[in-house]
Amino acid sequence: MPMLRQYVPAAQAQALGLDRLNVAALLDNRMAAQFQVILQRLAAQGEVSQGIFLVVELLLPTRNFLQLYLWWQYLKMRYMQEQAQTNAQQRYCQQAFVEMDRTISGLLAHRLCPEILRKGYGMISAYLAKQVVLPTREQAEQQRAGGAGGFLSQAMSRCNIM
Amino acid sequence: MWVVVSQTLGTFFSILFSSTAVLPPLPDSIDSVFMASEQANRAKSEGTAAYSRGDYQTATNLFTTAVEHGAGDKEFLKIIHSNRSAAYFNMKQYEKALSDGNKCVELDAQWSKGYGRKGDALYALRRFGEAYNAYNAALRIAPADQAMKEKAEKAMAAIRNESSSAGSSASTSSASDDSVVVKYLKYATLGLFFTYLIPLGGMVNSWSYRLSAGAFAIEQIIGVYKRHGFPRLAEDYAARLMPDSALPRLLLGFFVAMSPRPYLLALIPILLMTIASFTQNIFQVGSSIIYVLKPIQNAIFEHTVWTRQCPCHRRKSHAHASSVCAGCSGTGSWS
Repeated sequence: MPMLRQYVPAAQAQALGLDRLNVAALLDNRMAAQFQVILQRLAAQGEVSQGIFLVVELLLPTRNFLQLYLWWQYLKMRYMQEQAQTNAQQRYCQQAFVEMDRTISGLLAHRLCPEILRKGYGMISAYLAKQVVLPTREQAEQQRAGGAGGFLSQAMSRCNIM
Repeated sequence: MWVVVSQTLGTFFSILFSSTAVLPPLPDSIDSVFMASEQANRAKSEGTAAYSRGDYQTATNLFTTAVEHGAGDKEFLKIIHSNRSAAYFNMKQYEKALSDGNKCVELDAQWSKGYGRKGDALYALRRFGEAYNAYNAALRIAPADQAMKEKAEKAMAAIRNESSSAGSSASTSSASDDSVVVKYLKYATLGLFFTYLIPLGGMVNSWSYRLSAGAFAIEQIIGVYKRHGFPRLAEDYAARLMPDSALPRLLLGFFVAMSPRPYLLALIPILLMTIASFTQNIFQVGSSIIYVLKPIQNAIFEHTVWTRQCPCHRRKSHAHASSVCAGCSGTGSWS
């Protein structure tokens, strides 16, 4: 409060009601929200990193196919759930994927990187992107006409676990 | 001159005779058009009496009678509709209360009470955004209405609450309103994570890893049960469950607990999500520490000389906390 008084002339502060404003509480709420956002973002980055690590681990003797499959199913489900999120700021998993893609693309753009790695990564990322595309309305209508459930059941069948 | 006079008289007479033809025939009683009939008034007073007795069914019936007999009188009708809306509201028939509230607004768009009735019904129907708009409309007409202000604030709080719980219900719910079991499961998740970090031997490490993730999964199961009830094989249950962020978390906990060997990287998201649910508590503790340290901080501040450029650009004042710039005497402008 005294610091604020330093930067706002006393008469103006009184006119704005700043001398009665609870700045501490205001900052507290805003900081709490920011804190949560940071934690969620870090958590999403950790999840995506673990997914990448499980892929890399296939080259090591500790490779584990089941864990890899289940983990990527989890990531897929999380990603698809976030597509319904209207607030783009809260699409933590999608942001994490974007950042990871940027990092990997940056590494692969190096002149010493073999062409085949670049190609392989392009194919894998295209495949992954295809996995999380929600069916369009027309497709859902067709599906319904075929008598095999609606939009929801198709979306569910796309993010199934087993 | 005579021509003008005769023309004026002719116009006058033509207006006189034609206007009698245009006007509708006068009714035998003015009351039947411009005021509610005796019957309607009686029904209204009886209905009000029934309402204050708490007999809402009778009250709505009487108000309906009053509406039928009081057709044409807007002032009368709006009050009747408002009363009937309140009666329906008390009978928990919110759809009917809403339609009466809408009728009130339709009859008199400058009557704040009508908007209030509409807002109440909308709030009860959990349409908080529309309720907030209705209360706001009422406040625009009567800005000094304290009760209406409180209602608008309540609606706004409900909107915020709903939007935050729709997005990430599990992360935004504070740990302070959890049950004891959930709270201890969270403590277990955190505690076992740190036990896992301490190298105590293979078994201890792997079991603390598993139990940490397992506690997280069980916590999510409890959350899902609390919000959506016991699992059912029904489409509506699935439709409510699918957007819930606890579902992928539950799978996360399950997969991590089932993994054949521990991965530190897999447990970190669980740790961070658990810490995020303690945000409110962390900040409460933080603010209470600040409260305790405030006098000390002030004392330190009072003994610190802050150097800054005054907005008046006259001088660089070495201002004390309570003093003002000697150049502009605190106004910040050229003098």
